Amino acid sequence: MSNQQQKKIIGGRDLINIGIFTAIIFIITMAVMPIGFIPVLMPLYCVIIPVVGGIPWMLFATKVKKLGMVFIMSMLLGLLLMLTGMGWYALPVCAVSGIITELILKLGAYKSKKHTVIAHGVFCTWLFGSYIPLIFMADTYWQQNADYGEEFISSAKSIFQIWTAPVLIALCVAFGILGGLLGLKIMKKHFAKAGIV
Amino acid sequence: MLKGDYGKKSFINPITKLVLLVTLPAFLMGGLGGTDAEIFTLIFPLVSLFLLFISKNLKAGMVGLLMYIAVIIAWSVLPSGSDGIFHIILFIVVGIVTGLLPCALMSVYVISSTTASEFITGMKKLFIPDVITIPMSVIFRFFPTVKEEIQAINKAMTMRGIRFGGRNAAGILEYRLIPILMCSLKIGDELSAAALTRGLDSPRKRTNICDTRFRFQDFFLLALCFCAYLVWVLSLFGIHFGEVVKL
Repeated sequence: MSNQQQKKIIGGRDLINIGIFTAIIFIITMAVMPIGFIPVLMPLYCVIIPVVGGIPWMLFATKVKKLGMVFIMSMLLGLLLMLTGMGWYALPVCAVSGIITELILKLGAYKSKKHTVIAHGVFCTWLFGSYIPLIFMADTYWQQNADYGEEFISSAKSIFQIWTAPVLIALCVAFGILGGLLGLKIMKKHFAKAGIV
Repeated sequence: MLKGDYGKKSFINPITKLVLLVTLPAFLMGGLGGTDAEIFTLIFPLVSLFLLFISKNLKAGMVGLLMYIAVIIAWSVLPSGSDGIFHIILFIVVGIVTGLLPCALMSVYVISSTTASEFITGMKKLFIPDVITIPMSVIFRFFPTVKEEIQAINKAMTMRGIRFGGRNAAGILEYRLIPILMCSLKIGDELSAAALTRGLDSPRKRTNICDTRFRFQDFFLLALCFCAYLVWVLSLFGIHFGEVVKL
């Protein structure tokens, strides 16, 4: 174990940790997704997922000691979004948000609580990837998905316009930081007491 | 991933499974190709059902088949032009059953019929690096486990009155998520221990005894996926499959 941690290269144990936390965050995402069948509630993804995801994130952050772990996690989430039919647009978004998150964590030397909380705000912008076809390619997207019905499409179109993009990103960051703080609080209450962290 | 049964050969190659796993959501949920690829939105659900039946996963197969038939009947019998809340609910159900369900069934098939070893071998053959392969195989291995844990925790918490409408409704998030995280961490530690014992971190090249040759059914399914992508690409250039057939 101690030998493992001293190495700077990502090893098998780290990869397994990444897999597990990616799965948890993705399960949370999947649990929230069905609310999207009511178009008005779609932007709420950017509120609910970052807040709930803050708890596993803070726990994951205690396991992150090496450069690249967060980036891999981000890319995996992008891949999973692709596998569940959100298109490949999420991948570049995840790459950028992953790199920035990684840099923020690096600035805090993977220890600072403040940096970890802020990093979660940035990390949560991966969610924005699933909105890209709705906002920037609305016409082709709805042409392809015409069977959603007129009502659904018109209300979705009125919500997702160009100006919603910065709003959604801001929501992700703000609620990501909030989620991080919540996670910090819960970590202190439960995991520190149980001696896990 | 789930089964450790090395004696049994699965019906299709892990690579074919991966291709199907990517292709199905792209066409059923991502709506690639739009109306041109409509024929594939009928074929792909049948493929996933067929694979489930052939791998003797009868329970999932029957559930999927019944739901699919029921929804198709409901959708064609009921008036589609009607408005109101009923139509929206019906639409949601149809959307889930025709889009999400086949993809979910395909993932069930892939997860229940592929061993971690086969999966990793398949990914290696596609030159996908370990940093993607290992977390991915953990994720697939992890979904069924975490489902069991969640069910157990939900039962326990319902007994304590921590549920929607219960006495402690406010505690739902905290008292359900944290036990799940605790279990997950433990499972993670056990998994790493098991994997390291089997030489996960070893610098040597990995060997295996999985039979990953391509057979007739693999070529057939790969060709099917290829056709679907072909229709999509052609539709991008303005050549529409539907019109070609009519001509």
